[in-house]
Amino acid sequence: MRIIRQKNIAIAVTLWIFIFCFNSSDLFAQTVDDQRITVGFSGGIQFVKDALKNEVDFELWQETGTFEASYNVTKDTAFDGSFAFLLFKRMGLGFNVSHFSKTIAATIDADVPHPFFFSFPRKATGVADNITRRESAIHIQSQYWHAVGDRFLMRGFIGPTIFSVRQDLVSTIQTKERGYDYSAVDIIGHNTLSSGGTELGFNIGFDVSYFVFDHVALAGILRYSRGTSSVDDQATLRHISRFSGQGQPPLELGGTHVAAGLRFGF
Amino acid sequence: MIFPRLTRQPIKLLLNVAFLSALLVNNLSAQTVAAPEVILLNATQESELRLTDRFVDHLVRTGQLRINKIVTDTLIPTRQHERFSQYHQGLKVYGAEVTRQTEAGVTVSIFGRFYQGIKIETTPSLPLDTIISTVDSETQWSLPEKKSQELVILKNPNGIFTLAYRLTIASPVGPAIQFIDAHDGITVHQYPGIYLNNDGLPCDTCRVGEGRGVKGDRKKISVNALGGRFQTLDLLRPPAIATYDLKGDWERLLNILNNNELLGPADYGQDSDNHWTDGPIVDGHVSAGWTYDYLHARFQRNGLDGQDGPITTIVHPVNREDLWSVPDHIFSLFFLNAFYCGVCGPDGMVVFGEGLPEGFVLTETGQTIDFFAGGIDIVSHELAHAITDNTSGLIYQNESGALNEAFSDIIGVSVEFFMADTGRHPEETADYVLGEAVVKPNGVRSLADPLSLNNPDHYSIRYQGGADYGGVHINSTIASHAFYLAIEGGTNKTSGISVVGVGSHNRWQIEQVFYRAFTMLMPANSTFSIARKTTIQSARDMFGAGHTVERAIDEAWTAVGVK
Repeated sequence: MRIIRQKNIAIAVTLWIFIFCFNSSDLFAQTVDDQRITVGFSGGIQFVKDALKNEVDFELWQETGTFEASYNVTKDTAFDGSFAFLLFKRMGLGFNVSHFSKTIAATIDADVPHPFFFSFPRKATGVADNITRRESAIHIQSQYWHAVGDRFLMRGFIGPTIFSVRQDLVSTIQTKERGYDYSAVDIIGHNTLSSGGTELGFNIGFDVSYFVFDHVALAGILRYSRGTSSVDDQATLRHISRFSGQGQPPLELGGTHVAAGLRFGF
Repeated sequence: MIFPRLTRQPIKLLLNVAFLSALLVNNLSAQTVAAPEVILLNATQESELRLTDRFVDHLVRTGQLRINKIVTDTLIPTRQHERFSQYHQGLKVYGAEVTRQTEAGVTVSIFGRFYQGIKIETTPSLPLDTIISTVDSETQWSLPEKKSQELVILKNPNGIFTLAYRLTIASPVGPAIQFIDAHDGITVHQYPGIYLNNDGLPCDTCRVGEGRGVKGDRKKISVNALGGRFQTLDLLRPPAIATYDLKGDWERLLNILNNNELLGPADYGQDSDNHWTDGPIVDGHVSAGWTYDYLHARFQRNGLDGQDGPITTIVHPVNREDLWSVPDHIFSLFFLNAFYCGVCGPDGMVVFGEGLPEGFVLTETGQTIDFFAGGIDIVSHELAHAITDNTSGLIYQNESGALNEAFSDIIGVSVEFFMADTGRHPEETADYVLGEAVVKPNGVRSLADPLSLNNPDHYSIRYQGGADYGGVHINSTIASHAFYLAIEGGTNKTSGISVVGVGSHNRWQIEQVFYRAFTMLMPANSTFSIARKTTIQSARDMFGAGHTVERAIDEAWTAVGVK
């Protein structure tokens, strides 16, 4: 986990230095180059692809059973607010705060011990509704400002991202026997715990603003951010036996963010 | 260590016990008459059925046959089985039965024996009260009140009919069924009320514990929680399965078997932490449940009586330390045997003997005897006697008795295979030897090679003496070996005839066919010949005529010399 975090920091710092070193041109925007500061907000979609699985061992009928909960987090609405200012020539510094929240249904596949026989589990499946992933991020961006014509301001950016994430995980299930011969059992309930933390990643993308008024612009943003977060902390592992499946832990954070909104230039 | 010369000769002693040795038919009274004509009913073809069916209907109309039981076929739900008993002048002719299989009102098969031309005086010279008082004073044991006495017509092996009272009597070694001549009060026939293994969350308080069996194998045990303790009462299965720990109090057990005392909750096997360490209690209780599971899974049968009636088993009938102090008959019964007693208690019960202490062996065979509850095949064998009791009622003597024992052996080994093959208890080593886990080495009887344990594998070498109730255990292997051959195939050692079996992966086919024949098609007085015919009919019913199952069974019976 520590190795991944250091790698993200290294990538972000390297890209930042690269932009500062190779973009020191003295070109300035013609019509919109009076803008030195922008503030904006936008709403859109964040495309996320994360397939987390966690497994939990439980004791039943004098034996250890296991269930696996699968979470498939995909796109959902995301919002962000931004603040940026021109720092030097075309280089600027931006701060962007985004929030993504997704409620999904996790699928549960369980091997439930048989009341009469050891090592003779029954298969049971269930669904856990209202599983939420909440992801807030602060994107710190080194920006390159470029004016196109009188109205367009294009900004490319890259920089580190600080992610804060909370992920609901199914920690226990409740089962109900259908009766003799106990060949079938149902999952009738579950409990969740919320796990997560704060992690560092990076973001890259561009923002296009079209100033419909002197200080007001319609804007679109395309941003890719990525980070990883471990949920296998000791507190979580008291309830979750292990994680399994594609790329876990950690959680895959961020994703491709496409949004539209308003920018205010000063 | 081998028994000293002056100690008992185990197992064989059982046959010397007074009441058991009186089973032979005694002097016949003056009121008996010559044997009537026997009509064998064996109709499976349409041409035979029409006539036989009409004949049975005629006998029913005239009151010579009375319907005894109608059961729905659990394996072919569209079929029904009627079981008729023969009556003569209002009295039941003991053991004379006819079974008729129907589908949508159309007769499919008829098997049975009917006696025509019975001439016998049906008014008893001695009233029942006199008989009871005589028996009472002779045995000094009271008669179980709940078991009804009845006046019947009894046929002895010579074909002579006698008017007799059928009584359930108490005795020092458990209840027995006795037939007493209604004219002179002489006991003309008797058989034990116990079937010996001779020779050898639906409830709030339901809990599952963990225990170690006699062999040290780990098992789950379904128990009941009460007052901070756990007791061997399984309420997770449809019938209440109770295992009682008599803690070696054999005198009390005799009272219980003779229905003079009842088992109570304090007699359940008990444990304080639900981690059970008493092997016989664990195995007896768990194996009874597993037997129920097998019957349900394989035959859709609801327990021993088909109606999920209670299943009662008893362990620790004696203490091993009392080996030298108990009477001989107690030693034989409670140390060296397991048995089912259908007339004991409200629902019958199975008692598992304690075996011999470590270091002791049987003088004659050099075999050690462990706790009888430790053999799942033995537990299932005994419980299967209850199924027979509740279905065909195969009479416990001669060929029908051998079929009775064969069916129990078949169920015994089948449960073992079921547990091992389906992964329910992979630690189980399944084989065709009965009691190999208890009686070591070699076990009690081999279905695969009966000759290896001195049992006949062919009808021509069957035991024809009077011991063992006409060889019920000895000759059982003729039928059970046929069962084995029908599954596994092979060559009969005596006849040299080879059989192509259905294969072990198809054992369920032979199990179902035999179960159906033994419980639904066979009359109580079946012979090996009827067993052959009914199993073949059962195979045709289930798989169609000419199917490999029918062929395997047909070949198997031929190989063991049964026509």
